[in-house]
Amino acid sequence: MYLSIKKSLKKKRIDWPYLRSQGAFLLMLLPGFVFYLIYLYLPIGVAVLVSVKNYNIKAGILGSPFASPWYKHFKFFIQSPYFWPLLRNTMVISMSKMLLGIPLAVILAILLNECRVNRLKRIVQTLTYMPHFLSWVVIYGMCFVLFSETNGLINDWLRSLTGSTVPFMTNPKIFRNIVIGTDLWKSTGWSAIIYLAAISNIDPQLYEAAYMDGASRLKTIWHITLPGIINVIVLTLILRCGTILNAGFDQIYVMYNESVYSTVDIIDTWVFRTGFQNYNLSLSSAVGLFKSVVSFVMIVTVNQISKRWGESLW
Amino acid sequence: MKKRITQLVLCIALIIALVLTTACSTSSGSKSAEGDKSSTTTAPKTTKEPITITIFGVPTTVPETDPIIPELEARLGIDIIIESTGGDESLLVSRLAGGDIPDVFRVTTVSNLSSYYRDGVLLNLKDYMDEMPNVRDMFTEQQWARVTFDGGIYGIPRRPEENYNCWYIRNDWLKKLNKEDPSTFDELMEVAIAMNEADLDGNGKNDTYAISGTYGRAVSTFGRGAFEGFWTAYGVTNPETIMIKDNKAVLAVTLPEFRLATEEINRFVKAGVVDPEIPANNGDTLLEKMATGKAGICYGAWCNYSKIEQIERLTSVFPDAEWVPKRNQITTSYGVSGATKSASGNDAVYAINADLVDQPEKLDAILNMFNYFASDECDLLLSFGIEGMHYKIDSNGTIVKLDKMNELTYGWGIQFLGRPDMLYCMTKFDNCAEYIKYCATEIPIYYHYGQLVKQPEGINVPDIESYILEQVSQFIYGTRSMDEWDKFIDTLYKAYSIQTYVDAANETLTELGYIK
Repeated sequence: MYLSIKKSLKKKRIDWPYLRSQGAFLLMLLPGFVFYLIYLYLPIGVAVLVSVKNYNIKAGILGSPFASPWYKHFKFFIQSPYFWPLLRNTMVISMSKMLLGIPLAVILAILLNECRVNRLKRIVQTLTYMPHFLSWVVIYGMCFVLFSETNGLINDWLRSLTGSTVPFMTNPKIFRNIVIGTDLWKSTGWSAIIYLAAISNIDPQLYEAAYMDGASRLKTIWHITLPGIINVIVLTLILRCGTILNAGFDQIYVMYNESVYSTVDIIDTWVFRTGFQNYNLSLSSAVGLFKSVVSFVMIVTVNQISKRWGESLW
Repeated sequence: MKKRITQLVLCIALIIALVLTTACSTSSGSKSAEGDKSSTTTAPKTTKEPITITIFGVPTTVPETDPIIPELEARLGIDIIIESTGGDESLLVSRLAGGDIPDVFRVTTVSNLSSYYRDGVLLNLKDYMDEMPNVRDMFTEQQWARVTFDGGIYGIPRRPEENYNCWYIRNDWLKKLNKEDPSTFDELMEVAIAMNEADLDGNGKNDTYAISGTYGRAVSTFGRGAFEGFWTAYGVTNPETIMIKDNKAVLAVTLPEFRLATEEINRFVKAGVVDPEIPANNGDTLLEKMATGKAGICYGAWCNYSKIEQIERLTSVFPDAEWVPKRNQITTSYGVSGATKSASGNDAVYAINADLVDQPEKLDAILNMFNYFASDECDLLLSFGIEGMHYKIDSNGTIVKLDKMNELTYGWGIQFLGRPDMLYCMTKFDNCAEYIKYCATEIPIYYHYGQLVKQPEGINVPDIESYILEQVSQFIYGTRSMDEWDKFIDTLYKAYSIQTYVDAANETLTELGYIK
């Protein structure tokens, strides 16, 4: 079916009889299509409209007057003194989570795959993906117990060993690492599952052949396992790039405080404060739209780049 | 062919299922709302269906066993649906943005109130004041000023509370160290260092930070005031607030005295006597620190230290722990340490949906309800509960608390127009009477006026406030050097255009007569 549609697209003519013969399947597509239309495409339209208008509850989305000039809210945000800090914080946190998260998950998957003691493998896998099910509120509580400067466990040790303490929760730079670190701790085990699945898809004959030729463990990992899952790695990289400006709202909203705004206040937390706590829906829509445009550009660019390596989404 | 028909049937079934799921989810939602209603409904007085009024944004959760609201309904002959939000304004914003405006709702900040006014959501109460004479007479002109926009009145204020805040200190530690209650910063430093070094919690570790509290965004009954004692001692209010100095409105942080106060705090931080994670504290973590002997001097409201349940918690680890208000105020050549307070009284106000103009019967019921809220009879009900159950009146006419009054912990959330505060606190928390009186009468009050100022076009006041709070905390803790203070103030003027805000403040406060 896919090939046929591709063919018909090439001819720039739709193969109606063929499509008709697939009517039932197309009908099955309908609920999904309607879902996307209502919950994803319609909101995009609404967001675009709201962001170029001065949204007024009483007048509704259509009746609200247009902002003058229409890019007023975008201009306000881009010219505001917090634009660059917010963008920088978002990018730094998100990129760190991505660039550290993917290799860690791949390494964990490979280690698990290489583990020959089945019981240990299962225990480790369960332990590593369990944090995925914890909520951020619980994790914040755990962080406080561990990292608090007054009564945290780690600072207790540091105090008795070195006599000084580290402000993990209030120093902006250190706290950013806590944010990134807790996210890695929470998500690595879970993300490793997809790579494990990809590894299990590699033809075992390749490993056997390499073994016959005398390849060492490391060599088989380097020449068979990694090339075998590289397409999955690139795929997840592209998908992550699409959400590059999502640095983890729920995590940061739970964990941050005024003293660390300078490094962990991200676009999403700002949008929430401005839009929903201070009632400025047009401004926050404009910023949301700005985020979407950046994400879209990112995903297309990364896809183009990865095409050169022969891997891509489309 | 048969196969295709099966496919078709399957598809249609799928679509129907989808539609049904959506439909069910909405109907079950409305069902639960009705369920809430029925639980608080009492028999109507008239045969006519009673009018239902939704009050949205109540800050405490009203339990199902609550007897006060049903009593109120019976007295007024209406149905009241209380929707609690825990004071979270974002819930109101999402509800309004969806076009579903509740009959009566609580707005927590003045900047949001002005936005709702601009959008035409709020009913102008000016023409209805005669129908609410009790309400009209309850508030002063200046209290009405903060809900007045372009001559119209768009909200009903709440009576202000007395001051609750002051510095609390571990009296038993003072005795152990054989120190006097400090009255200058040098003495305070001496006491704090002694508390730090004496290892009074006896765990063999040097892990006490004498001074603690909460700061900034953290929502707790401790407020934002860890450093309020320091700032007021220099005659200034919290950094992000507007105050009046030399008959002019200024942003507190820009005053030279504020810099001196911050340098003072910085000196304490460098001496290692200030809890390094005050900005990350919330009410719970702070109480934990206080109970485990990690802090000896904290700023906050009496209710955190002196209520029976708080005393139990604070003495759970060290039974001898004795938290008392600090009696000697710290004095500098700039001022005496005290508490800050909004000149406009309480932040939150109640507003009425403008659409109700089309439902005169309902509107009348609401106005009547508010008028009743402002009566003495209703004050008794909402503050103290039901006579005979929660309180009794003795032969002298004084209100006497009965045991059941302690169950009304959610009471302050349904005191829609506030309460006769002194009487209320002294009756309900009779064991704290001494402290309540002390905080209300003997602590110097420093007023701030930001809540009266309407946000000027082109600037975002909440952003300015969070920037100030963030930077000041960096200066306090030395992440940013005090040498860069002027640069910081410069950024406020240049990048955050605070002059526009201060100008607006000067204009409003002159109009209101605060500046002559």
